[in-house]
This record gives sequence, C-alpha cells and structure tokens, in this order.
Amino acid sequence: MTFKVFICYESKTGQSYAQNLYEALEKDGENAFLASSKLLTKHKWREKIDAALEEATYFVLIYTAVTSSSSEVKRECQKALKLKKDFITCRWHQITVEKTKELLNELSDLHQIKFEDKHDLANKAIVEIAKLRRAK
Amino acid sequence: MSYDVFISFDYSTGLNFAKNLEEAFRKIDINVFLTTSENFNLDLRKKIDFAITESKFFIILFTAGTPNSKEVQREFKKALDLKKYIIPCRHSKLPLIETQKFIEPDQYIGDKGLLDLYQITFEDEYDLANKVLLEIMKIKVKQKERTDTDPEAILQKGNLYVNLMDWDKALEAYNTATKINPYYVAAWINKGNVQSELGNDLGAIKSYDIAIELNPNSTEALDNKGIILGKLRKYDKSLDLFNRSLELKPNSYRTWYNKAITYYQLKKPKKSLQTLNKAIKLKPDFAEAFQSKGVILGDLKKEIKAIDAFNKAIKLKPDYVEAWYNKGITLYHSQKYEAALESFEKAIDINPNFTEAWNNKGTSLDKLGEYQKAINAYDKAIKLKPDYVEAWYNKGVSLGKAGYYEEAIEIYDKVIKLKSDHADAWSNKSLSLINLNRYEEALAAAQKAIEFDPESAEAWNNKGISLGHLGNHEKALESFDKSIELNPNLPKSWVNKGNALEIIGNLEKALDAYNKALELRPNYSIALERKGLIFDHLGLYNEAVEVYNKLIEKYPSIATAWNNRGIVLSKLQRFHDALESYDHATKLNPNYATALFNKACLYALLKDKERALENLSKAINLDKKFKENAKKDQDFKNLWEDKDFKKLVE
Repeated sequence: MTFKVFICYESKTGQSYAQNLYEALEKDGENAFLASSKLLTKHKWREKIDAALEEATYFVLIYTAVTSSSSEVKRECQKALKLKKDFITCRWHQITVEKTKELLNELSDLHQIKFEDKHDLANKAIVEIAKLRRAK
Repeated sequence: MSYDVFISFDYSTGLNFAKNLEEAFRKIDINVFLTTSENFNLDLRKKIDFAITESKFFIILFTAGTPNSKEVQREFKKALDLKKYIIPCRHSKLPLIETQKFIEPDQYIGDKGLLDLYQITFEDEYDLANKVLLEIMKIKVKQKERTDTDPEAILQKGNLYVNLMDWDKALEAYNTATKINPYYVAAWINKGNVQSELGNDLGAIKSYDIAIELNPNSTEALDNKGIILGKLRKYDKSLDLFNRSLELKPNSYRTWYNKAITYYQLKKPKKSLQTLNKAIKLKPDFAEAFQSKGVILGDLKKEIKAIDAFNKAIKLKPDYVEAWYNKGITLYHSQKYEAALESFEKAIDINPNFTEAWNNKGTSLDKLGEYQKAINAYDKAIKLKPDYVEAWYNKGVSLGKAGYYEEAIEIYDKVIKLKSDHADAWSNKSLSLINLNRYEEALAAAQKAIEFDPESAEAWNNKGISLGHLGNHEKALESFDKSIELNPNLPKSWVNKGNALEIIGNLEKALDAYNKALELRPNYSIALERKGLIFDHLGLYNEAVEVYNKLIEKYPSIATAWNNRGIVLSKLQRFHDALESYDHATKLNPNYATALFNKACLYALLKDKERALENLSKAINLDKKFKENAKKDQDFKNLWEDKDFKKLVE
C-alpha cells in the first residue's frame, strides 16, 4: 500500500486528534499513515515509519502541548524536511507560532494551520491537502 | 519528593485519563502525584495530604463517577483550604450541572463556587493532556511575566535574595521595583537596607529619604535612616529621627532600643540606661536590650549589675554569643579572670571563629599566669585572622612574661610590621631587650615608642632603665621623672627613680622615691630592699632591721634580704641574730659567696677561727676576689698573721 499522507503526532497529547484526522482522511479516500507503537517492536516500527514517510507526499504535523519534547516527532520532521515533503503544520489554537520553534526553528517559516478541536483539525487539514494537490 | 501537580480523580471512571495526563507531564519533567490505589487507608491519606500541600497545581478530573466520590471531595476541600491553583477538567459528555452536585454551599473560592471557575472540557485522555498541559504552561508564563513586571513580585524576589545574602541581586530587584513603581515605599526602604549592607550608607540615606517623602509616617524608614546616621556618627540627627518615629509609634520597643544606643554613642550612659529600661518594659524578653544594658553598666563600673544584665540576656537567649563575650569582658575588668575565661570559652563554644573571644581567652589566661595556654589561644585568634595586631601583641606580652625574650622580640617586630606606630609594641620590645642586656637597642626601641606615644609612662620608664644601664644616670632620672609625671601611680618608675638617685648619691631623695613606691604597693620587695640598704648607709640600723623584717616576713625566700639584715644586725652587735640571718641566706642559696664571706667576718670578730676560715674558704672557692677582700677587711685583723689564714688567702 502506498501512503499519501503521513500523520506525525506526539502520543500523549495528540493521539485523538491524529486518530480523528486519520479516520477522516480514510473516509475521503486518502491513504494515510498513522504510527501505532502498540503493534510493533521498536525496530520494526521505525522501519515501517521511515518507509511510510519516504513514500508519502504530504506530511501533517499535529502540534500539541508536549510535541516539542518528543524526540521521535523531531526526527520525523527533520526527515520530512530533508525529503522535501509537502509539510503541513497544524497547531492547536492555544499554541503560538513562537512555541513551535522549540521543536524546530524552521517550523515558524512554514505555513501553519490553527485548529480548535479534532473536527476542526480534520476539516482544515483535508482542505489544505486538496489545495496543495490543486497547486501541483 | 516535592510535587508540582496533584491529580484528583475518581478511580473507577477517571484512571485512564489521569494516567495519560501523568505520562504527558512526565515528558516535560513535571512531577505529578497520582494515587495508584483505591485503598484509602490512613497511610495513603497521609501521603495524599502531603502531596496536596506540596503541589502548586491541583487538577480535578470530572468523569462520570467523580460527583459521588467522597475521596475526591475531601482532596478538593483540602486544596481549597490550602488555596492551591485549581484546574477543574470536565469530560465533554458530563453535563455541567453534575459538577454543581459536587459542590457544597461552603465550598467557594473567594465569592466564587467551582462552577464559576474556568473549566477545561475534554473529549478523551489525549485532548485532556493537551489542554491541561497548555493551561499550566500558560499559567507559568503568566506567573513569570508577573514576576518580571509586578513590583510586588519583584520585591519578594529581592527579599528572597536578602535571605540568601546575595546583596547585589537583591539590590537589582529593588532597583527594578522602584523603577516600575517609583512610589513603592517598601521597595525604597528595602533598597536602603541593602545599600547599607553593601557599605553605601549615603545611597541608603537617599533611599530612606525618598521613602520618607512618599510616606512621612513610615517609622521603618525613619528608624533605618536613624541607624545609618548613627553609623555615620551623626547622633543628634539620628536621635531626631527616632523621636519622630516614637511620636508615630510610641510602643516600638525597637525604636526605644535604637534611641538608647544613640545615647550611649553620645556618651550619655545614664540616659541610655533609662531608655533601654523603657524598651525592656515594652518587651520584657528583649535579650538585646539586656545585653546592651550590661555593656553600659560595665562601662559605668557597675560590674555586679552588668553581670546580672548579661545573665538575663543569656537566660533569654542561651546562645547569645555577644552577651557571653561582653560578660567575659566585664568579669575581666573586675579582675575575675577565671570567670572571665569561662565566659570567653562559652562564646567560643557558640562561635569557634570568634577571634576577639580567642584573644580575650588569651588575656585571661595570661592574667592567671598560664602563659603557654594564653599563647595557644592567641595563636588560634591569629590563625583565624592573620593580621590581628592585638592578638600578636598579646602573644608578645605572654612570651615576655614567660621569659622568652628573644621570641617576644620577634613577635613585637611582627606587630610593628603590621602597625609601625604601635607604641606599646615598641615599648615592650624595649623591655625585652633590657632583659637581654641589649641596652642600646632597648633605648632605640623606647625612643620609637615615645615618638609614637609621647605620653606612654611605660616607654619613658624603659628609656630611663636603658639610659641607666648605659651609664647616663642624670638622663635616666629625667626619663623616670617624665614617666612619673605621666603616671604617678606606677610603682616601678618610683623604684627606678630611687635607684638612679642612689647612684647619683642623693640617698634622701632616693628614700622618698622608695617610700612613694611603697605607698602604691606596700609589699614591693625591691623598694623594701633598697630602703633597707639606704637606712644601712645612713647608719639607721634599727630602721633598716625593721624594713628587712617586713621584707622577710613577706618574702622569706629572698636570700639577699637575709644577708643584708645580717650585716645590719652585725653592726648593731647583735651577732647571734646576725649569724642566724646569714645562715638563712646561705641555706636559701648555698653558693651565696657574699653571705658566706659576711659569716666568716662575723666568726672572725667572735674569734672563732675555725668557723671563720671554714666560711672564708667556701666564699673564696666560689669567688677568688674574697682573698683580697679578707686581706683588707678589718674584721679579719686578728687573723692576718695566722698561718692558716695566710695559707688560705695567698
């Protein structure tokens, strides 16, 4: 299966937003990748993530309260930037652009979507993906 | 372990939410307390209560079971009592009305109930974690901003630095507080206090002036300015300020105390005592006031009352090191050296780095004749404070008294290196040099002492001794006269004057000088001995015997006194008594050649050839000069032709 959208999130504060987005994307006919550490060993899980990231066109980062302290999220973002993926940063509405710099400096230069709740996030992210696709 | 966050939740319906929340907190190194058991025994309750007390934030999770949870209610009540920062979080499916059920009518924060507090609604555990963490981050940022811009918070920060004795940082904080709010009286006062700590007294006065201008009724600013002015010796001005402060606050025992100290500094001890008594009346357990009272009473030579005051201070504050120390000083001045020593030792027990206490322990031991122990105490003081001039000087004194003149001179040189104009060190160096028969150097040292302190009677006395030994008796006499002029109560100067007069040949004036010395110190052995000799020279033999009798009664082990008494008794033809006196002298000092010779003379006069020659032989064996003396002395006239005598003296 080829993944079009890679969803990157921090597990303790972003999982439900990510899950809802995943479900919305699937409903919309998009192949999305949502990492679930519960199913695989760490080694295999990394391998699977990297493979999904490499083949995805769109990289959606869900930025929640403790995202900046997640080294895994940071690694995935750096990889996506290196691979020049279409990067969509979605930050929870109470988080400032400045705060996103705590994860990666480059994030503040990229366009960011602000969301209020999981439904708002799904809606805005899907619209943004469609916009990017049209631009291509 | 201290906690930042306490999570209160219903175990059966909220555990998953709470656990995820705790894990999220852990990711950003925030310590969370989470009950891991449903079994609320006494031990767990204790832990819970401790954690609530320790935590800054109290998160209460409203899930389906929460409204009926007695434990959550209990925890919530405690958090309210402790005025914790409460963050209520309600599951989105739980109607708002459910939280109302939870609230008892008296459970309000200020005039607001829990329902009126901002509530976080959450959909799932991740949503909860995201929202709560951001809320806490937001609060923390706000608190920091508040600390950065709120003058009151900055003042608190400054106070914290004061507690840590980080004066520079404290000053920085107060500067910021007064910059943000130039009308902030407390910040100006605290700034003044820190400036004073940093030695910037003028700056402190300026700050207090601003505080007083802003609030003329600020007794704290008036008092503190008064203290600084006292430090700057502007006592009258500080007295004015204390009076102004007392008009505003007549029962401020601290101000009465400060006023009393100012009177003391103005050398008005009686007024100071009266004022201290007012402070004590307002605060009967005011240990500092009793301590100061002790110091003042000590100065007024009311030693018993002073000791009583120190004892009261010590009773109120057993570890009051200054009270122990000053009690020691008072006892020392009362010549109660053993008790003084005890007090200094107590002060040292409390503060082993109290250099002055070590120094005075030394002086007390010196007075008790324990020179080596005194030296050890001075060494301790010197170790703590290597440039402690007085301790070095006192060490020199004790070394000198112990007969270690060379070592004493070394120490005095050290004192002089630290303080070249230390007249007493020069004078005592001179004395040590006299004891080592180094009169030229002794004279030079005495001259130096006089140069730095022309009114040092001791130095003039030492100059006189040196001059005398160098043969300049006229000049020596002048020095002794100067010494006596400066301090007529120094017996040794009178004795030295007497000596000089004797040498010059003025026996009558010498006798006057010795009599003066004896008036000051009735049993002064040297004065008595010299007086006896003068009476002898003047042919006043009975008077001489009387003086010697007094001397030997007081000091029976002075061999010369017995010998001289023998001579006079012999002149009075009291041969038997004379012989007895010589016997005493030779018993005390079997090698006392002069006494043996005198005994021989007497036996010769008594025509006891055998004993005369026996004693003469002993004297000659000790000193050959007695051969010639015997050949010339009329007492041996009858034996001059005797062959045994001739054999002995040839």
